[in-house]
Amino acid sequence: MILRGSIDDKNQLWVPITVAGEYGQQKISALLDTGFTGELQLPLQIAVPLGLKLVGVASYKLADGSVSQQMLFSASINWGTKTRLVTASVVMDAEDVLMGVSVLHGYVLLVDFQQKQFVIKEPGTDDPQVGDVTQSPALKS
Amino acid sequence: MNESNQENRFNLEDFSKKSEAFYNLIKGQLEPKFKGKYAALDFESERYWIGDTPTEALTKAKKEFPSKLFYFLQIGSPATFNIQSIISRSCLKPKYDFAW
Repeated sequence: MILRGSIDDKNQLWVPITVAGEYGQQKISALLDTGFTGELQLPLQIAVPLGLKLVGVASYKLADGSVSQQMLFSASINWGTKTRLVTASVVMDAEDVLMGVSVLHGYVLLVDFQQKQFVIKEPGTDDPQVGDVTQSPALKS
Repeated sequence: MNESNQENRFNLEDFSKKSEAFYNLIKGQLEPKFKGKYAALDFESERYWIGDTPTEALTKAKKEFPSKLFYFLQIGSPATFNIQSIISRSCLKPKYDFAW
Protein backbone atom coordinates (compact mmCIF):
# COMPACT_ATOMS: atom_id res chain seq x y z
CA MET A 1 0.00 0.00 0.00
CA ILE A 2 1.11 3.53 -0.71
CA LEU A 3 0.83 5.87 2.26
CA ARG A 4 0.53 9.59 1.90
CA GLY A 5 1.07 12.54 4.13
CA SER A 6 1.32 16.29 3.87
CA ILE A 7 4.13 18.82 3.64
CA ASP A 8 3.64 22.12 5.41
CA ASP A 9 4.98 25.58 4.67
CA LYS A 10 8.21 24.80 6.51
CA ASN A 11 8.75 21.69 4.36
CA GLN A 12 8.03 19.45 7.34
CA LEU A 13 6.55 16.03 6.62
CA TRP A 14 3.43 14.96 8.51
CA VAL A 15 1.90 11.51 8.53
CA PRO A 16 -1.50 10.51 9.93
CA ILE A 17 -1.33 7.60 12.36
CA THR A 18 -3.37 6.18 15.20
CA VAL A 19 -1.45 5.56 18.42
CA ALA A 20 -2.84 3.14 21.00
CA GLY A 21 -2.00 1.96 24.48
CA GLU A 22 -3.75 -0.18 27.05
CA TYR A 23 -6.44 2.40 27.84
CA GLY A 24 -7.19 4.10 24.57
CA GLN A 25 -6.18 5.29 21.16
CA GLN A 26 -5.84 8.61 19.40
CA LYS A 27 -5.56 9.74 15.81
CA ILE A 28 -2.68 12.13 15.39
CA SER A 29 -0.43 13.75 12.82
CA ALA A 30 3.17 12.78 13.45
CA LEU A 31 6.11 14.84 12.29
CA LEU A 32 8.44 12.62 10.31
CA ASP A 33 11.84 13.55 11.72
CA THR A 34 14.75 12.12 9.74
CA GLY A 35 17.10 13.47 12.41
CA PHE A 36 15.53 11.18 14.98
CA THR A 37 16.82 7.61 14.84
CA GLY A 38 14.24 6.19 17.25
CA GLU A 39 10.65 5.23 16.61
CA LEU A 40 8.22 7.55 18.35
CA GLN A 41 8.32 10.47 20.76
CA LEU A 42 5.08 11.55 22.37
CA PRO A 43 4.11 14.60 24.41
CA LEU A 44 3.05 13.70 27.93
CA GLN A 45 -0.49 14.97 27.41
CA ILE A 46 -1.00 12.48 24.58
CA ALA A 47 0.84 9.56 26.14
CA VAL A 48 -0.78 9.47 29.59
CA PRO A 49 -4.43 8.91 28.53
CA LEU A 50 -3.31 6.09 26.24
CA GLY A 51 -1.86 4.03 29.08
CA LEU A 52 1.44 3.07 27.49
CA LYS A 53 3.38 0.25 29.10
CA LEU A 54 6.88 0.91 30.41
CA VAL A 55 9.36 -1.45 28.76
CA GLY A 56 12.77 -0.07 29.63
CA VAL A 57 15.35 2.64 29.30
CA ALA A 58 17.28 4.13 26.38
CA SER A 59 19.82 6.89 25.95
CA TYR A 60 19.25 9.90 23.73
CA LYS A 61 21.92 12.04 22.16
CA LEU A 62 20.60 15.53 21.53
CA ALA A 63 21.66 18.12 18.99
CA ASP A 64 24.05 19.79 21.45
CA GLY A 65 25.90 16.51 21.98
CA SER A 66 24.50 15.85 25.44
CA VAL A 67 23.26 12.36 26.28
CA SER A 68 20.40 11.62 28.64
CA GLN A 69 18.62 8.50 29.79
CA GLN A 70 14.89 8.22 29.25
CA MET A 71 12.15 5.78 30.03
CA LEU A 72 10.95 3.87 27.01
CA PHE A 73 7.35 2.77 26.53
CA SER A 74 5.59 0.43 24.16
CA ALA A 75 2.82 1.73 21.91
CA SER A 76 0.81 0.33 19.07
CA ILE A 77 0.48 2.34 15.88
CA ASN A 78 -2.05 1.82 13.15
CA TRP A 79 -0.55 3.08 9.92
CA GLY A 80 -1.58 2.06 6.45
CA THR A 81 -2.52 -1.60 6.38
CA LYS A 82 -0.43 -2.48 9.40
CA THR A 83 -0.85 -2.33 13.14
CA ARG A 84 2.53 -2.66 14.79
CA LEU A 85 4.31 -2.16 18.04
CA VAL A 86 6.83 0.63 18.44
CA THR A 87 8.88 2.00 21.28
CA ALA A 88 8.10 5.52 22.41
CA SER A 89 9.69 8.09 24.65
CA VAL A 90 7.54 10.62 26.47
CA VAL A 91 8.48 14.25 26.95
CA MET A 92 6.85 16.92 29.03
CA ASP A 93 7.09 20.19 27.18
CA ALA A 94 6.60 19.12 23.57
CA GLU A 95 3.53 19.59 21.40
CA ASP A 96 4.40 17.53 18.35
CA VAL A 97 4.56 13.79 17.99
CA LEU A 98 7.85 12.80 16.37
CA MET A 99 8.15 9.75 14.17
CA GLY A 100 11.75 8.60 13.75
CA VAL A 101 13.42 6.70 10.98
CA SER A 102 13.36 3.36 12.80
CA VAL A 103 9.63 3.23 12.06
CA LEU A 104 10.52 3.37 8.37
CA HIS A 105 12.71 0.29 8.44
CA GLY A 106 11.78 -1.67 5.29
CA TYR A 107 9.72 1.19 3.82
CA VAL A 108 10.50 3.46 0.85
CA LEU A 109 10.10 7.22 1.30
CA LEU A 110 9.81 9.47 -1.76
CA VAL A 111 9.60 13.22 -1.28
CA ASP A 112 8.90 15.91 -3.85
CA PHE A 113 9.39 19.26 -2.16
CA GLN A 114 8.59 21.10 -5.40
CA GLN A 115 5.11 19.60 -5.62
CA LYS A 116 4.75 19.46 -1.82
CA GLN A 117 3.90 15.80 -1.78
CA PHE A 118 5.43 12.62 -0.52
CA VAL A 119 4.61 8.95 -0.46
CA ILE A 120 5.73 6.06 1.68
CA LYS A 121 5.70 2.58 0.21
CA GLU A 122 4.93 -0.20 2.65
CA PRO A 123 7.12 -3.30 2.61
CA GLY A 124 5.84 -5.80 0.07
CA THR A 125 4.23 -3.18 -2.16
CA ASP A 126 5.16 -4.04 -5.75
CA ASP A 127 4.11 -1.16 -7.97
CA PRO A 128 4.16 2.18 -6.20
CA GLN A 129 1.73 4.04 -8.52
CA VAL A 130 2.71 7.30 -6.94
CA GLY A 131 2.26 9.58 -9.91
CA ASP A 132 4.55 12.54 -10.22
CA VAL A 133 6.76 11.64 -7.29
CA THR A 134 8.20 8.56 -8.96
CA GLN A 135 8.40 10.26 -12.36
CA SER A 136 11.12 12.55 -11.11
CA PRO A 137 14.44 11.52 -12.72
CA ALA A 138 16.22 12.23 -9.45
CA LEU A 139 14.15 9.60 -7.70
CA LYS A 140 14.64 6.89 -10.31
CA SER A 141 17.46 4.47 -9.67
CA MET B 1 13.27 -16.78 36.27
CA ASN B 2 13.96 -13.96 38.66
CA GLU B 3 12.34 -10.69 37.65
CA SER B 4 13.61 -8.67 40.57
CA ASN B 5 14.17 -5.44 38.65
CA GLN B 6 10.38 -5.11 38.65
CA GLU B 7 10.26 -4.78 42.42
CA ASN B 8 9.13 -1.76 44.33
CA ARG B 9 11.77 0.82 43.55
CA PHE B 10 13.27 1.59 40.21
CA ASN B 11 16.31 3.79 39.95
CA LEU B 12 16.99 4.80 36.38
CA GLU B 13 20.58 5.82 37.03
CA ASP B 14 21.47 2.59 38.78
CA PHE B 15 19.64 0.52 36.15
CA SER B 16 21.51 2.32 33.36
CA LYS B 17 24.90 1.94 35.03
CA LYS B 18 24.46 -1.78 35.58
CA SER B 19 23.17 -2.26 32.05
CA GLU B 20 26.07 -0.35 30.53
CA ALA B 21 28.54 -2.31 32.65
CA PHE B 22 27.02 -5.50 31.27
CA TYR B 23 27.27 -4.13 27.74
CA ASN B 24 30.93 -3.32 28.23
CA LEU B 25 31.51 -6.99 29.01
CA ILE B 26 29.87 -8.20 25.80
CA LYS B 27 30.48 -5.43 23.31
CA GLY B 28 33.65 -7.09 22.05
CA GLN B 29 31.60 -9.95 20.69
CA LEU B 30 28.57 -7.88 19.60
CA GLU B 31 30.09 -4.93 17.79
CA PRO B 32 31.97 -6.85 15.06
CA LYS B 33 28.84 -8.84 14.17
CA PHE B 34 25.90 -6.54 14.88
CA LYS B 35 27.12 -2.96 14.53
CA GLY B 36 24.18 -0.63 13.88
CA LYS B 37 21.54 -3.07 15.08
CA TYR B 38 19.55 -2.61 18.27
CA ALA B 39 19.87 -4.67 21.43
CA ALA B 40 17.64 -5.14 24.46
CA LEU B 41 19.79 -5.99 27.47
CA ASP B 42 18.95 -7.61 30.78
CA PHE B 43 21.94 -7.32 33.10
CA GLU B 44 20.37 -9.57 35.73
CA SER B 45 20.11 -12.65 33.55
CA GLU B 46 23.09 -11.50 31.44
CA ARG B 47 21.01 -11.97 28.32
CA TYR B 48 20.54 -9.82 25.25
CA TRP B 49 18.32 -9.81 22.18
CA ILE B 50 19.20 -8.27 18.80
CA GLY B 51 16.90 -6.67 16.23
CA ASP B 52 16.92 -4.35 13.24
CA THR B 53 14.70 -2.01 15.26
CA PRO B 54 14.26 -1.45 18.99
CA THR B 55 10.84 -3.05 18.80
CA GLU B 56 12.19 -6.17 17.13
CA ALA B 57 14.72 -6.58 19.95
CA LEU B 58 11.99 -5.89 22.51
CA THR B 59 9.62 -8.43 20.99
CA LYS B 60 12.26 -11.14 21.23
CA ALA B 61 13.10 -10.21 24.82
CA LYS B 62 9.45 -10.12 25.90
CA LYS B 63 8.94 -13.68 24.72
CA GLU B 64 11.27 -14.81 27.49
CA PHE B 65 10.66 -12.12 30.10
CA PRO B 66 7.20 -10.64 29.55
CA SER B 67 7.28 -8.19 32.44
CA LYS B 68 10.92 -7.21 32.74
CA LEU B 69 12.40 -3.83 31.89
CA PHE B 70 15.23 -3.79 29.39
CA TYR B 71 18.02 -1.43 28.52
CA PHE B 72 18.07 -0.54 24.84
CA LEU B 73 21.07 0.48 22.82
CA GLN B 74 22.29 0.71 19.28
CA ILE B 75 25.31 -1.53 19.00
CA GLY B 76 28.49 0.43 18.41
CA SER B 77 26.83 3.80 18.98
CA PRO B 78 27.45 6.16 21.92
CA ALA B 79 23.68 6.52 22.43
CA THR B 80 20.61 4.46 21.61
CA PHE B 81 18.98 7.24 19.63
CA ASN B 82 19.93 10.60 18.15
CA ILE B 83 17.53 13.53 18.07
CA GLN B 84 19.04 16.29 15.99
CA SER B 85 16.00 18.53 16.26
CA ILE B 86 16.20 18.92 20.04
CA ILE B 87 18.86 20.66 22.02
CA SER B 88 19.41 20.03 25.70
CA ARG B 89 16.18 20.46 27.57
CA SER B 90 15.15 19.89 31.13
CA CYS B 91 12.34 17.53 30.14
CA LEU B 92 14.87 15.17 28.60
CA LYS B 93 17.03 15.04 31.69
CA PRO B 94 14.69 13.66 34.33
CA LYS B 95 15.71 12.20 37.66
CA TYR B 96 13.74 9.02 38.14
CA ASP B 97 13.80 7.53 41.58
CA PHE B 98 10.33 6.67 42.65
CA ALA B 99 8.16 3.96 44.08
CA TRP B 100 6.92 1.80 41.24
